[in-house]
Amino acid sequence: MKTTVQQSILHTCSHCGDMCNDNAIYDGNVFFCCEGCKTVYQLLQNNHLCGYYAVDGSEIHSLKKLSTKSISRFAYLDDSSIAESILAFKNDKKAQLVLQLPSVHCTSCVWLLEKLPHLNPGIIRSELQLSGKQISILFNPEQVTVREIVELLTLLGYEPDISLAAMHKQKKDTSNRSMYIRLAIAGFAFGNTMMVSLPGYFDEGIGDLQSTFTMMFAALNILFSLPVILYSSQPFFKNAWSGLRNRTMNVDIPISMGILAIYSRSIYEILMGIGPGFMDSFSGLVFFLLIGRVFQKKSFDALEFDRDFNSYVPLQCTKIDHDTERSIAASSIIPGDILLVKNQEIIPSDAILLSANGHIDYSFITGESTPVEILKDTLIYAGARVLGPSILIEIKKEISRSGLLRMWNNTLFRKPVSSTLLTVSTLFGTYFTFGTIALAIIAGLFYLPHYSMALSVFSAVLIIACPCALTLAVPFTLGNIMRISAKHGLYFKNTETVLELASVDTIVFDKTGTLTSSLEGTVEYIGEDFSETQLRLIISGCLSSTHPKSRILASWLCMSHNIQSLKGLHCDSFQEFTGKGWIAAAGKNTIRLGNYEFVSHRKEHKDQIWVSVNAKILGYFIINEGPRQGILPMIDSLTKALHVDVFLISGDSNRNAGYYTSAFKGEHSLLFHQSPEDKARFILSKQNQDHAKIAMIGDGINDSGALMQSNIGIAVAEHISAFHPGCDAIMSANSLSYLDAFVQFTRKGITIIKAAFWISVMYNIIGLTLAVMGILTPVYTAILMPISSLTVIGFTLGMSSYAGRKIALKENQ
Amino acid sequence: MEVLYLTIGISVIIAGGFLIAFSWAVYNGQYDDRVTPSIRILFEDQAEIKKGSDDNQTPLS
Repeated sequence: MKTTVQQSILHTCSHCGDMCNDNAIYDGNVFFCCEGCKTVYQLLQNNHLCGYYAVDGSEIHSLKKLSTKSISRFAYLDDSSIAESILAFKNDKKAQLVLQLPSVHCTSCVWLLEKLPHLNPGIIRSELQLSGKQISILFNPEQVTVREIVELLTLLGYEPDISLAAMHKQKKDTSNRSMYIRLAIAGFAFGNTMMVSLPGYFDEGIGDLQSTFTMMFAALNILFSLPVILYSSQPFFKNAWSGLRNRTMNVDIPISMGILAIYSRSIYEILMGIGPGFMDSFSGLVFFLLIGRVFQKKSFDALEFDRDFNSYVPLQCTKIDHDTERSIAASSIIPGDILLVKNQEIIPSDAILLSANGHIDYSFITGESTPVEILKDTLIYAGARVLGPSILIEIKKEISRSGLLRMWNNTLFRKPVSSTLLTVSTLFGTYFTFGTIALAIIAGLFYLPHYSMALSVFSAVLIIACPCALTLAVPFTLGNIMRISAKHGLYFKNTETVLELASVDTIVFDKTGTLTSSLEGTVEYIGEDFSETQLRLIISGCLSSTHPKSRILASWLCMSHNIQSLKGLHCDSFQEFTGKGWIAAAGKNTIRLGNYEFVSHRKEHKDQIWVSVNAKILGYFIINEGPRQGILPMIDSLTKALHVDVFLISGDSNRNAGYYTSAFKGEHSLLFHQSPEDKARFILSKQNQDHAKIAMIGDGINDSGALMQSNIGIAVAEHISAFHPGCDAIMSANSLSYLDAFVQFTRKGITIIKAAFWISVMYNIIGLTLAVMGILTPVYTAILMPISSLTVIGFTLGMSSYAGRKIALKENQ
Repeated sequence: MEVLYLTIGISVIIAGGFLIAFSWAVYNGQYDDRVTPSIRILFEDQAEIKKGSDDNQTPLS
């Protein structure tokens, strides 16, 4: 099979599906965009796994460009102590490796990753957990090393996330399992106590047998309830206890009070032979409460992009020890160590620069992506990313004491939970607890001469007032909202975020990339015409550039000049300057393309993309970006129907403002030429002056400062798996046009929760009346408690699903 | 009515059996991932056949 280099932009890569540029590789009858894709394709082909491409062609993700350099990053895995620290299990013949693979997302990923034993015979079995993005690999350590496995995964495009945080994550699975067991035991006890308690409610009919059977049923009831109180209800007691110790009220305190009251009264009644007790209501109560907990936990686990600072600290660093480079585990560095930090690597702990100078990118800390130049002896903070040449640093602090960790505990990263509903719920917990106790005491005192009656009324109030239904309302509604939103492309970080979106009254959009789509726009060229060779050089330069605007220019130039094949396109040298432009040279011609300052060497700002040939300026291109489809009606409905103030702040120029002035409230809502700091400052001032609750819709890294400052930062992403520091929710770009529907949906969620509160209050009033009157019998509780829980669950789930259908309707329009 | 002792005993044993079976399933990891197995079952066999026939390099008669 002969491999030739063929030029065609009309072909897509057979592996990753990207457009092939002028470096396209033609192999037999298939095209590849790069060597990496070809390697993977051949690897799959040689192992008869081309079925991969048939599984789900449209979803195959882009493969990262591979080079030998990128793989040598994993050299530290040759260090057996590091390699073993990430193994889940190991003996002589078998070892198990569990890794997080952030880029896993579809059916074909499962298919390919579970075929690892075909690709490397040392791998015995590989199993992928799609929901947890986790792969578990069983392999023979004599045949294959951890490094080889990690490299194979990276080669396939699934680079594992090997960081301290990812390693921690694997250990928490067991808590979910114990939750299921607790639920199962409570359910078991609920069913069986119901069965044996039922005859007791009609005890007149049983006659003589009554006494013997009552004895047996009572004994069975106590037996069934023991594991429920000792094991199943532990989470509530633990939470309540930690709340009491920290002197904060939480909703588990009244719950625990209710559980203890109902249990001790039942035991007392059974042992004293007064009555059958409330054992069935007790296990039912714990059962329903646990269902609420499991549901809550499930929505928390749904999508974890809440990374802590550990994810930023590298696992490995290169230590310079007597002029030799050595890979060491980052956790073992101590002050005084000298480290070599290469391009794109992260500084693990606060350090001092030993090299003459270096470039540092603080983007994840400050949101500012422009690199900073630093000189010898400057202090560099942990979390900074090195750009350009490698630098030598001397560590000043241990990782655990570095500024990064301090920053992480800073208020900027920990948003105070300001949501009204949550404060209401804590307040509620406090008032509810004291209110219940007060009511119980008063009601008890009322019956005082009769001690047994007083005690029974006292405990009855505590039992019936247990806020079971109330605690179910919030997790079920918000969890369901999160689930439905995720189905339509909006991924919330947690349930608090849903509340934040509901209370939003100002939405700030960032234009670049979020509202606009270049595909909807047009390109214009104004200036002198190019010669044929110049044109070809410009096209090949545009294709070599990574800037999205260059890509648009390339396809426009090809189309407008009717160029079908890119045969003979090449440039001798190509250099790109981030944020400025590029220089391409071939033969006698040198092309500069980029902003005016870069092309003309004059200190002047102009908006267009300028082009010069051999230092002579020929003209400029204008790319008119259009708004994405459906954006303008969405903004209209936000302002008019939902009364949300809408602002647009953009780093760009105002030439496309015309599209937006009509939709936004006039010119003052549109701000242009804003730097990332300006954006964050704008949001801060809005929050301070107008007490606005702001949602910021941005596109990730560049805006992370503003995203973090806003009440809720929503990152708009083409791919959900992309990483966005500082955001509270991720939205897929296609869903942006029905943002109004999402806001409306979350607001409805609040109404649903309030309605559910009232329903359960109604049940409580009925129950409390019975309790205060002293006629609360086990039959009433056995009916009231499950019914109130089931009504609340059914109401919240049903109503929120119904409200969610509005989004689906809008999506189908 | 003494038969109640027997029937209640049997019912508790049956229910307990289900409880034990469920606990076993949970600790066996069957509830850890409820998405991937449903995908996995769809394409397992086909690849094995493909591999076998290609390795032999002989057409199936």
